[in-house]
Amino acid sequence: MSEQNNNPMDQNEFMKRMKAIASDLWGGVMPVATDTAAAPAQQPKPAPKAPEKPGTDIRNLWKTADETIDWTDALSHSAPTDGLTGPKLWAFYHKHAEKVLSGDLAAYTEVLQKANPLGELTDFAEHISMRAVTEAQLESVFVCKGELLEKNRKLYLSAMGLRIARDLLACLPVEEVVVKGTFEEKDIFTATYPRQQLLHRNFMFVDPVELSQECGAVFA
Amino acid sequence: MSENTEILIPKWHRELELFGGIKPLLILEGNVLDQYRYPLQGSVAQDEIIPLSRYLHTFFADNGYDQVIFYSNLVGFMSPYDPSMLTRFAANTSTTIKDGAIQAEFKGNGADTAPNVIRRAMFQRKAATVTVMEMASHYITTPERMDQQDVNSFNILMQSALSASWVRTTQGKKQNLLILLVNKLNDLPAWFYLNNPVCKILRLEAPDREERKRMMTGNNFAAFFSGTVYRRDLPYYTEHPDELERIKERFVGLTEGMTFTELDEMRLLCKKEEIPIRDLCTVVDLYKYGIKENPWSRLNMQSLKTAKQDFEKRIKGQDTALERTLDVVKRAVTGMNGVNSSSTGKPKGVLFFAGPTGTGKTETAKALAEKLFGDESTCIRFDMSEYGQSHSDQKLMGAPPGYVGYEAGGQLTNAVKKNPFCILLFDEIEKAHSTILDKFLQILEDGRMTDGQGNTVYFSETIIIFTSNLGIYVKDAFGNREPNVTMDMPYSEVQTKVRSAIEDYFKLELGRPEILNRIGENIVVFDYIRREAAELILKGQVNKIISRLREQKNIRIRIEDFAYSSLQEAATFDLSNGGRGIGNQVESLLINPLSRWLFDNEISGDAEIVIEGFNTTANPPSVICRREEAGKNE
Repeated sequence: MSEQNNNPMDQNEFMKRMKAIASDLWGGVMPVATDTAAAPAQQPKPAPKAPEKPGTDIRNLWKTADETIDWTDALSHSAPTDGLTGPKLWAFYHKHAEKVLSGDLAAYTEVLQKANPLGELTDFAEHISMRAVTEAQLESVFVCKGELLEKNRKLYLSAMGLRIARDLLACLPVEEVVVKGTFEEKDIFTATYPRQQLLHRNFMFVDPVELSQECGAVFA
Repeated sequence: MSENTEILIPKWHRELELFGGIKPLLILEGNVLDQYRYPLQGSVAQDEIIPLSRYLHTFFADNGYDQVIFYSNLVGFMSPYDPSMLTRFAANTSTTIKDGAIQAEFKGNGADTAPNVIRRAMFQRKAATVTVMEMASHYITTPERMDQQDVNSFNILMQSALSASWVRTTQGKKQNLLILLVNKLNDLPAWFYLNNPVCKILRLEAPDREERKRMMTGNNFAAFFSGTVYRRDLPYYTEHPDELERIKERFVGLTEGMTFTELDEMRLLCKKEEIPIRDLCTVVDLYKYGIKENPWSRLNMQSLKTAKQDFEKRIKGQDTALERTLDVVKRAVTGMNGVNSSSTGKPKGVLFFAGPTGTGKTETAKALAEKLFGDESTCIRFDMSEYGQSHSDQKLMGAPPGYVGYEAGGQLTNAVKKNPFCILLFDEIEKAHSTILDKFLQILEDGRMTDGQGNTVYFSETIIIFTSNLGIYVKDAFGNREPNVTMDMPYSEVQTKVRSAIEDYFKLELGRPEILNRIGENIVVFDYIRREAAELILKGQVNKIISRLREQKNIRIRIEDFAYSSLQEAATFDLSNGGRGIGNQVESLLINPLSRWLFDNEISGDAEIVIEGFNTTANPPSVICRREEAGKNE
């Protein structure tokens, strides 16, 4: 007696499951459409729920960061190796990889302009600037927003500091990022975030104030 | 920096070029799940590491084939790298595309089963077509038990290949081609490929030394490191190219036998852990064992300098043997092991301890484990008399899938997986079955072994010690066992005779000189326990008993000189059983009679006893003791 006869799963069901497996296996390189005929009947859609995005609130701003640009991969491959980066952006990385990896400050500046790593943070500060100080160090200065500063001064400054540091460390192969916060033209925050100190941290569970203090944060 | 810029093309790629236009049926066997370095500049960049399917697509598309189609029994026919090829293929084979693929079962009686579609593709002359059948090992359950439909399916494939058509292309005439990717050739029915004149079998191997070296050249090397590490470290190595070359060479040696996928995973690990260029080789340990700091690199040179003195406290009268053993360890510690070999994945050292029984062979192995890894239990002992049957190798390496005990794995492979930094002691190796010796050959040569569950176990951080009594007795012309060496021979003669007998055993009796070659000059012959050493052993054992009684029971024992002389005389009279024989005598002449005397005199602790004499000829032997008043001698 064949195995299929013993199995309550009929041939169609079996093929459907196999197709799902195949879709997973080949999904990365080719579209394997699911069997639309076999799709379950459309259920009434629940009311749209606002997605919870970490990083859009000052209370979890430091929990996310930009994806690290893999400069050494960009140097060795002309096409994206991860299948995630768009070809145009990869071409830009590939073009600049050699200079970036040799610590060329002009290339750093060009990358900072193009990648705009702090673009997502404009809602949290009046103004943010960034620059390459040396081949191993970047610096960013942000002008604080008064209302955010008032709510929880230390949390706001640390969250901004940590998130800026994470975004910039992800963007360029520097060792550390100096972050300064100013308010009404006065320096109110400085911290230097070394890459080594932020490695292997689970940012979902770190206290940004504590971590910033570990990185020598000074709150005025 | 010397970079090898020559085009390095693997053998199977050359064969693909040679036979791709000649043989219409190619079977690619072996490492088919791995990724490969594309050796030429083409539709993909030269030296790019890509999956085998993309490799084949690129190769054939770049060589003028109009269609490169992949078949999987889960999906059907597809062309993941150029969907337009699938559209043409569907038109040429009168099939339809549904959900991005031409769905077709491998077996069945319909006109649109995969073999029938392939037959049409092979016969047509409109477009030069390569059909690659992926995972072909899994189309049937087993070649031994195929039903008629399975047989028919393979028959159609064979006939398709036998009458494959030629097609005119812009790059000349091309013959339609069928390729099967299989893990093992015997996953297919033998009649399909044996004596099949149109079939060519290509073997895909793990990357060789040159291939691995290639991965470390040019910009490929950069991809091993995080951007920060590379930017920071590169200026130094640009000024010191020789150092960089040494690091690369060492890495290439350490990665012997690894697949491209494994190398690529190691590359990602190196990047993730921000490993600096100078520590590149540590990623191999990290990948294999999950540790960064190798216990071998923690070994203190100073402690090894005093190792011989430390060993002599435990093993008496074996100066030369200890010296030879420590030479091997020093070679491992200084990293000189394997410098005369292409593979650095071999075990750290191999020793073959031979000599009469009870001379300290096992004890030396234990002492070595304690010295090297700080714990005697890192010496893992296997009594090879338990592995005398032909199937015993499964006990060591694990039973193959489907067999009872498969889940348990092998005793040896499990032990090394649990602790890769250890001494493996195979006691009485001559008692093991010869199939096990074959396994040892692989371990000694490659330093790795795949267990029954398919996990690779690495022996590169172990010291392997075999012990044997070979050469102590030989058989005479009548097959009687007679001593080959005797106690009255000097050590040099014992050494020469034992070595020669071991060589004869492997070369003549066993017919396996290759095993002897792997052991090389590392046969260490232990000397007989001679009188002087025997007296030291006896003294050590007696002192141990006295101090233990003092510590545990506060019973203080003193043996009078005359009494000790008679004990020594009796205990060292017959040294044919070596140190173990002395231990037996101590038990019989001292421990048993003394405990009897203590029991009879109801002494359970806090006493001072003087042994005045031993009656060694009595049956059972006895001691003559007296109890001293407490504090008399204090």
